[in-house]
Amino acid sequence: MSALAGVVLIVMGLLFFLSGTVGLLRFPDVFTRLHAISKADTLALGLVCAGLALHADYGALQLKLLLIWLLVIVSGATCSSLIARAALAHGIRPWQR
Amino acid sequence: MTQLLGSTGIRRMMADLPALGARLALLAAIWWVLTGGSLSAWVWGVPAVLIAACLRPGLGSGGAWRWSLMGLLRFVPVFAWYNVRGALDVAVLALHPRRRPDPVLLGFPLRLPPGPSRVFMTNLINLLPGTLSTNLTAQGIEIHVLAGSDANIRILTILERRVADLFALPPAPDAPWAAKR
Repeated sequence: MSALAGVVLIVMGLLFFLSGTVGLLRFPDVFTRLHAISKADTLALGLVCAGLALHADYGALQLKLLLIWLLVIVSGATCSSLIARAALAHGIRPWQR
Repeated sequence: MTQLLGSTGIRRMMADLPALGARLALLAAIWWVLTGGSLSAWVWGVPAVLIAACLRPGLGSGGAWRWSLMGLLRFVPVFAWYNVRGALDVAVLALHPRRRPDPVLLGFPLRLPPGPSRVFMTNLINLLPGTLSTNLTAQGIEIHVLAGSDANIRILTILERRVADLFALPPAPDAPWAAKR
């Protein structure tokens, strides 16, 4: 049962990765693309890690997966702010309709 | 060395020793978990942990801070809910054939005091529905909103209250409305 739940979580994670990548390709500028990868990919990785944790045989591996997810959340959120700030500082104006 | 550092410098170093020890222990534990306890990985791990502990990674040098356990327990479910909503919003916008972003830059006046809680909030904004922080100023945070929605700004005010609770800060009064740039 937990193996099936793990597969479902991983597939959901892959769908969010796919949507983040589509956003990266479809959205018009650096700021909108940062939205796509910072939000969709963070949740996607969380779902994949949760799915893999259900397949893991021992607790240390589950702890490692949780740690990887937390570190990626922190670094992803911080990098998004830094890239957006650098883009504005270099005179890149946000795309508008 | 003593002359170079001076008595104030040495006192500061001595006062920082317990905190340095705690950082070393935490970072070593993180390394140990990430490398699965591999002994050979410590060749890189020891310098990495030492450098990271001396650089003091975290929420900046804005003074002492602490987290409230109850605040953390109240923060996590609210954050998780809005993080899922944010990912769903952006997924729908990316995959829908006719929907397109309608972005706008806003100034969000922060009620959190300057320091670690503001840095935390600045990073948190990037994980919430439709918002991206572009700059942290003395007045507040400049935000890029993906679809120009007032609901996204309301979510920020909710999370700002949760962050104040997380950092055991007194609750702030209601925020003045965000100013469009």
